[in-house]
Amino acid sequence: MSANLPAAFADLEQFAHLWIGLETMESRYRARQDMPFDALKQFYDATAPRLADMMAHLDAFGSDTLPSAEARLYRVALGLVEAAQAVEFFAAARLPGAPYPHDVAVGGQAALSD
Amino acid sequence: MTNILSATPEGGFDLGHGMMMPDAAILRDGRVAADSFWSVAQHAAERDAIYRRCWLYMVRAEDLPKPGDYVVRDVEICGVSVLIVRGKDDVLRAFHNVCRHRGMPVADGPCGKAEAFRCPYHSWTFRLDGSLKAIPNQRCFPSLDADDLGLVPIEIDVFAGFVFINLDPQPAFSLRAFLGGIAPLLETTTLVPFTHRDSLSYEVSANWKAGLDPQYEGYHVGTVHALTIREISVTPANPFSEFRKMAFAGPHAAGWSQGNPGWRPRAERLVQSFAVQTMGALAGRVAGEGYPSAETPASLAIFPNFMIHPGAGGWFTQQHWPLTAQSHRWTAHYYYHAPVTASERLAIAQATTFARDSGMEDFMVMARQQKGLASGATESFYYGEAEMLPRHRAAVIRSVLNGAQANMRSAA
Repeated sequence: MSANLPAAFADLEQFAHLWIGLETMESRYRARQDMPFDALKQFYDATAPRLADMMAHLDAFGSDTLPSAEARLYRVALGLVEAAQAVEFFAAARLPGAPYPHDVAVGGQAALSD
Repeated sequence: MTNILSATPEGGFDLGHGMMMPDAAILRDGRVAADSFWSVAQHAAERDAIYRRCWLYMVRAEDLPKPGDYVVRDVEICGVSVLIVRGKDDVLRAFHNVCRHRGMPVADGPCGKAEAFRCPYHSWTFRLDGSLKAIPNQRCFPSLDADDLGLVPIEIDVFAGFVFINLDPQPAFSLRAFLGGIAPLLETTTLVPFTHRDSLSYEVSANWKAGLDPQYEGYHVGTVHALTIREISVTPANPFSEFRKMAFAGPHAAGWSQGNPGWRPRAERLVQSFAVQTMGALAGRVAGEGYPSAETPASLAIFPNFMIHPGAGGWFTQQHWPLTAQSHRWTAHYYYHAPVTASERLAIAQATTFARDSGMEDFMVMARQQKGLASGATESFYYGEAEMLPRHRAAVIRSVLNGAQANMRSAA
């Protein structure tokens, strides 16, 4: 897999590996807890200013099933959502004082079929 | 008259232990016994007098749209597994999720679709209406009458799309009577258009009432949520995030927030800014259909453990289910309009992620508070007048437990 992301976002390739394998909110949250804050900040600083461009690119596809490069880009954007929690609010990877590690289940006992 | 919507918390109610009023001393002083948050005896009393008596919210009717759709919900404090299923006749029914042969759960949770429920132990099979369809090798049960061996039903009723059950085999009051004066507020919620839902669940090391408390007042917001939602709620005119209005109806209550109408995400918060802006565009695209209004309570508290709130992009509902005297399970559903674009999906992901983290801020506090209370250091704790919703809830529970004890004494 040489080209992970759409060509316009090739400069973000160095970060793609952090997130493209993480399919769930739970796995991204755990990755955030495990990542040094500096790494999250570096990712955020490189990616957040590109978010509007990334999403404009993805919105042009306008459907649930994105081509594989775009699907990876969306996964990177979801990683940015998680990293942004750390950078924009807590100035730390983990919530100060929170148990480590912890998981907040998506669905779990509240699950419903869709 | 009981259970009338009122601006004052003194109104009467009847939860099957006779007509009673919220405990006057707690309403007056806000002083609550600390052991009400950790004693095993209180936990057992709440189980018997509240969770085995009250109507309990389970699920939205539209979450079970078709015949055979089912959910399994555990009411752990009562040790009960509830199976709710839509029948071929389109009727919603609830049953104990227990095979009549030897007690095995017949449905695997938490949700699914079934033609019938076949017990995984010996394949006894039950129809969607609960009746027993088949006993393998039935000639070995010559004295059993299959007509008497349907799944044990649980009382179920629906109000405004909210499906409730009651574990009392003969509830002392209807769902409508239970909701009483709070019913019109429940009726004004509009979850149906919000067809995209994120659901979260977390086990919290704190009593279930500690779990409810932060949802019942804004007093903690400036402190606990200093890094997250403080700026959305706290203003110079309202530094303690007080409700602008509170109302009470029997055991239920509602609080209306003042909010911070001028709030916008800080410009340097690029991701939050993008998400909030996109969510606003989503609202514009669907012409605001079904959104909470200025008249929507920030907290609508249906006794004992169900909360409905306006949320980012729509609504959210949450419940705090007691597990042990010192732990509970939080479940939450975030309702959004269906996203069309990737941007809208991302904005929803940001909103749920933000809600998860601000929820964790509460959970961390409660778990530490729990240790403090359970240490026995103090005999009581205090709810101020701005914390009138939790004060009222504590007063209701005190009266219910006193009344239930009095009933037991008079029956003895």
